[in-house]
Amino acid sequence: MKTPQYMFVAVAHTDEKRIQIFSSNFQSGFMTLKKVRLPKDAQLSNTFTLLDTSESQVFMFIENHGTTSPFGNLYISDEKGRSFTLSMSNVIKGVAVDFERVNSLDGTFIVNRYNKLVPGQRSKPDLSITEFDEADMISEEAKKSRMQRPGMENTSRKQQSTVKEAMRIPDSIPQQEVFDNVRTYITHNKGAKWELIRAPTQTSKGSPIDCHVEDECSLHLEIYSQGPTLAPVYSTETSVGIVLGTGNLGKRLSNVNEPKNMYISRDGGLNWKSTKAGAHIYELGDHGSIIVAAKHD
Amino acid sequence: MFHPTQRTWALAASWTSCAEFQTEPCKIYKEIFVTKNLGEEWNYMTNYVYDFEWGQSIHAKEHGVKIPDERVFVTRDDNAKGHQSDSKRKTWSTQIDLFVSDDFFGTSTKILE
Repeated sequence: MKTPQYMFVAVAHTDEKRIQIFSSNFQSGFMTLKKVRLPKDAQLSNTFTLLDTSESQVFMFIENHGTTSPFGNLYISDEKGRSFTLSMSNVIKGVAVDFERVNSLDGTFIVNRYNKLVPGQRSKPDLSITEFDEADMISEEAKKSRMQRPGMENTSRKQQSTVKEAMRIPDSIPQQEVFDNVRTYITHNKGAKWELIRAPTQTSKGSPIDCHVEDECSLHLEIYSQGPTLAPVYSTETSVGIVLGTGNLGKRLSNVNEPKNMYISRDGGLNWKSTKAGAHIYELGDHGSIIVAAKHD
Repeated sequence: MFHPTQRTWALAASWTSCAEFQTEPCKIYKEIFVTKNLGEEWNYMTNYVYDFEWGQSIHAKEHGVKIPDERVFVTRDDNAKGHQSDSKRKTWSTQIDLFVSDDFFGTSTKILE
């Protein structure tokens, strides 16, 4: 997989099911391929998805719960595209990964995330997952060199359990439950901090809306995972700051068949206005001075 | 696949057909070819190919990083004989390696196994 800045290569693990990911960048003419550094739970996956390589950083999606699970983790790299850290866990993947770059403002991205609300408990983006330090790297390297010694393959019981752990598929979460608990998050600083989207204060007809992030109520937007039924979040580079979306207000993204409205932001996704009742398809023209919307039945 | 900076250069891959094999048993595998004149002439590069990419990058050019225009990355099965295995495409295979060539596979180097 090659972009103008980076080349990523999947190298088959000896079991021919899992892979290790190598990367190189344009500075070396793409020649110095090295293994990417990832948190432990993402080191042996069977696939990876490059989502964005703009602004000298790479957003990569890894199905660290296995390919049958409808969500995985989002990682962000350094400038070299070599070391990755967790940006957001449990990002939804249906037809495609629910991740969208806001083209009209640098550093802005929107994701849909599986985030079950436990009654009475305030939910926060769970970013406290597996810290990854040098000692882990060294022990991991040591394990690998042990593994390469002939006749020693898979002798370490601890390692076997680590592999099992990494490949564990959470059977306990049915797909329906995942899609019933999806919330939309936005980042304004390239994945460093993710927030729920503040709901508009008025409906498109002007009546007040009582929906506050403090009460777990926010704006949730459709991206790709529900299929091509509804228009995803949309923005263009030439219409600076404008973002269009289809969604609903509440605790979570509602089912695709439930009523949706059209929303618009003029400040790169920070504040949103309710534009039209009902789902629409849309296009931007002339640097955002023309917005066309057609009712989607 | 057109070259990122040379407008008249392109790469293309094609499968062999049995008609090409007259004296030996026919083998079906993917070969890669290069053209430097918009497809008037094609030159054979290598066989048992899976994926391929030009090495040149507009981004590198803009940043003054020199990459030979001729650089090509190819994943291929160096030891394959007979028909090219299709199942290796569906799963991950340890037999497919990454090669780079700066002279259209006059010479090539295996850079990742």
